[in-house]
Amino acid sequence: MKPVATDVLITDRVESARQSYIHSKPTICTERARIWTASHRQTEGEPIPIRRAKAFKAACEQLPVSIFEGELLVGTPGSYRRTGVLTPEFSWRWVDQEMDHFDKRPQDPYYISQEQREFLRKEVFPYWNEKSLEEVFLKQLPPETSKILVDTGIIDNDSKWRQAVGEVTPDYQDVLFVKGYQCIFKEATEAFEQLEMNSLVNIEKREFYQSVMLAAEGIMTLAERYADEATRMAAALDKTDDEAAIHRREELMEIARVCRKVPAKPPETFREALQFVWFVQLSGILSENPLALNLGRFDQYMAPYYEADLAAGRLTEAQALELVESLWIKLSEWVWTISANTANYFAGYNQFQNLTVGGRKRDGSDATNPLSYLCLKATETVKTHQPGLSVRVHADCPEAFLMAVTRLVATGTGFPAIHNDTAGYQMMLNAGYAAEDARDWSNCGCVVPHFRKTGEWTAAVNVNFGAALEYALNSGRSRLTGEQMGISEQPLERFDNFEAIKSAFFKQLAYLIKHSVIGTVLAQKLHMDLVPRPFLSTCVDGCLQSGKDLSRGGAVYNVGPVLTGIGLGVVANGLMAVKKLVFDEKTATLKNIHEALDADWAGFETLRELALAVPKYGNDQEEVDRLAVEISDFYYRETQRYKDAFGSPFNTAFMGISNYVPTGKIVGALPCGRKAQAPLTEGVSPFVGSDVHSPLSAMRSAAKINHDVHSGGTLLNLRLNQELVNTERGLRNVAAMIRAFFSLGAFHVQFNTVSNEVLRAAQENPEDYRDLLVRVAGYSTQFIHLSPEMQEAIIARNSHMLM
Amino acid sequence: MFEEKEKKTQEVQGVVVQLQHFSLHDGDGIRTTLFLAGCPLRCRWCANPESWEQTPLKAPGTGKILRRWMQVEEILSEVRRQMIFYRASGGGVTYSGGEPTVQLGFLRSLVDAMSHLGIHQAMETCGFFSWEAAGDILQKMDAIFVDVKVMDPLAHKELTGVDNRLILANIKKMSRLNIPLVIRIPLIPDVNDHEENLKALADFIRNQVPESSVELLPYHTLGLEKHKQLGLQSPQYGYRPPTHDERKRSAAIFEKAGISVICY
Repeated sequence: MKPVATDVLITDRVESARQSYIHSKPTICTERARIWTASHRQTEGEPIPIRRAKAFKAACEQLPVSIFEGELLVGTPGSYRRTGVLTPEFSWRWVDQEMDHFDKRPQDPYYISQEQREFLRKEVFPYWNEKSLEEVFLKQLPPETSKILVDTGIIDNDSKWRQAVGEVTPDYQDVLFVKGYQCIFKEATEAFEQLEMNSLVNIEKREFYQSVMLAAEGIMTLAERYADEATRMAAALDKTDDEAAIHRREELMEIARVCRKVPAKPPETFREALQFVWFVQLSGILSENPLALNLGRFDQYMAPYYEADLAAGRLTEAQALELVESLWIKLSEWVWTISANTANYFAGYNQFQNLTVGGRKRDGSDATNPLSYLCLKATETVKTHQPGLSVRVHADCPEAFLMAVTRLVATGTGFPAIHNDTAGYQMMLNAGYAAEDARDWSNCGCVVPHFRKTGEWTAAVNVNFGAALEYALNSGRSRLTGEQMGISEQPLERFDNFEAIKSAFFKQLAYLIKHSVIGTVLAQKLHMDLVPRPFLSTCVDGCLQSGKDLSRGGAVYNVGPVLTGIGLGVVANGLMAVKKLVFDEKTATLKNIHEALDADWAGFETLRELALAVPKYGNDQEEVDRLAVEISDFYYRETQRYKDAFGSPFNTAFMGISNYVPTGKIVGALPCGRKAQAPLTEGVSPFVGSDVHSPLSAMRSAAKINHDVHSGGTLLNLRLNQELVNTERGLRNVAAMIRAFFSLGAFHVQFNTVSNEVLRAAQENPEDYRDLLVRVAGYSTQFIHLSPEMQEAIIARNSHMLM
Repeated sequence: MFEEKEKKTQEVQGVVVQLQHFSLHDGDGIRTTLFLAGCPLRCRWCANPESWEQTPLKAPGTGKILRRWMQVEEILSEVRRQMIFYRASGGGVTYSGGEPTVQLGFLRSLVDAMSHLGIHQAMETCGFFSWEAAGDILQKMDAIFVDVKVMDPLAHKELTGVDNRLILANIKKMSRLNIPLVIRIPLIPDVNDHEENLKALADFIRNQVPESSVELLPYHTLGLEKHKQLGLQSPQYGYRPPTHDERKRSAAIFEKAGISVICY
């Protein structure tokens, strides 16, 4: 093995696994669904938590066990290298409707064989008919809510009833690594045996503890089966005298040893801890096909094992890197199976398994350690899309760490997501955490500051701000369909002042919030009844002590569901345009605006030019930025009024994912000059191409939002010229931008360096790339304003620099 | 060092070509570059012809503002918003042009105000100014970038319109200020990149301003378009950008003379 200190090298083993990850087709394995269904046929009449737990245990006992060539970490959710599993207990209808076209859909296609489809339609789906969460939810949802919540893009929470919730960060620090599953099993058994069935509470607790016992047995069985398989494979190599085979036999015997130990017992080495983590991840996948089953503060809970192994000479840095890279590949291989609708919101086979490094410790001191750097290096080397690598940057964070972060930014992968440690802490305090726990946050999914001892729906509903503005300006109707979707409102021409228009928007937004709450609380109630989470309850502190399932509020903290606002920037721009054009400068009437929007600006090109010239959010211009702040503050106040199933106030977020694209599809033209069906804006980012001043102005605008109250997280995406990050000096400036942005109070920034692909796209669609800055010679200018020849020159230079 | 013979002038406004934030190549850190209007030189390869004159101007046809009056206070209010980025990056404000010393009173007001705010200041100058009039401003800089195009005075006059003796004398004075000094050399093939000129330049630097470093600025053709926009006749000299090898060869001459060649 080669040293890692000087350059990024990749071992043959990792490279071959990486190639297979890149080239394998995501394939649906129906085994999990088959076993789950067969188990349920045998447990009719038993309590739901026990039935779910028995199905999980059956899956652990029966799933095919595969150890792929050269693997050090083992375990896979199905027969294929890139397997997706089906969870018919949540929803099977979308699978039935969509699977004949799985391989042809534009976003995140899957492969599934004809034989498998026939099997599902004959053996699996009929059983779940009328029983799945989706069907029960849709049956119980009030029609008024249903009209705007189900596959409309207005408010959307289908990931909470077509899918499992996920959004859990297993507690390795205080629970899993400390106890191991033998101990968890023992504790659940003792608690179970002490309870008599003499009260409703006790009956439910007994069910819970029994479900935990089954889940613990399940994961231990799964590990044992891998140990057996490794032993069998090693035995098959017994007689060989080939050197490579002898070496592999030793590796297999070590795999067997590790799998017999973890996760039954606490890990004692780095390798054992990693395999433990993967078995937990794998069991989480089998239990519910989760979104955002996070790895939390990996550098913190893994550090003791890493340091001990290094000190004892059991492990080198290079070996550790190879193991970490192996985990990265494992995390990327499994495929989150989702509907076409969900895939539009969470594009890119992204499972949102977030892993956070850096930041402060519980006592407030710097937490950065050698593993923090190793994780950055692993992502740089294997370039897998998982884990979602996040870093926490605090004011006293080591300069070397921040520079390592900028170097990863320079690779152009979009990683890592960079977070402000302090803003995250404030968001946590706002959500009700104790100070030490608030300091111990890690990211969940996209950009949600989260704490592992928590039950929370961190991405409960997407709320379309663009739709709310449209209904305010269009008598409560959709401009594209003419259908009444919002609250009825007077025609636009009758408004006689801007404040009244703004109030009308707030009224529509409040209406969307209310129905988001209705859809969420109903889903929460049904989750308690139908899809308890015995396995994941073992991973979250509090459940075992309280005797309550995670879905029933068993965790130490229950934090209110997060409603994600989409289109903050574009709505601020839209309101600003109405104010400027109609009321301040009086260059247009409301009637003009109404007609122009109805016509999608066709025939109103001059008015559109005027609208485009009105100041836009993202340029550090006070008036329009203040509108964005006012809207986000209103959203927070209105959302916080509602309480969830556990009495916790709902939370707000301005997150990205890819939701600003599908939500834009249902919104007609907006007064800022945006055309019908164009994307909205993501997180707190400016409308694409409209932040024409500089990334610094975009940062200043974004930082004006009161990030600290949006406990569900906020997101800013910025483009950076590739050339800027090609030199050490440039990277130092990027680091300075991060520090300045965070000292202004903002929470997150993600840089996308501008590749030649982007420059080509800018040549095709200049209007969307008006913000794109490139350095010409001595100074930077907007790319689209350069002549075609000069653009070609810049592209040529970019390619040169990348070599 | 300099006696105040007369009250130094102050102006509250001046004509500005552009205030460019997020400027990363005109000194340390993240900077705002202030392009002031007016230049005593007319270099044949000039990429910024819009900065030659000192009167406000809109582009013929498009009406785009190319030069406009700006108040000191207006500039300060923009600069204040950028200060957080200067502080984090070690950046600041760079005066450029045109030639910043042309609007001396305006420049002095800006420099005094920025000094008061504690902002790191740099100047890009052609070196063609009266030291007696502008020396006090130079003294307040934290970094100076000064151009030298060619060493031969006659060639200099032909190519830029002015003699270079004043420039070279001013550079010697700059070197005594104990302020980081960068000699900037535009690199134009077949005009000033021949060995004789570059060696003479290297000699001058080594002997007269040994503490300074050199930055080579390869010629580019973007200025040609600007000439068109301004309705000026495009220069017909047919200059071309230096090749990678030519740039390396030129840099080697300075490096061989023990002068550090830097790149922003």
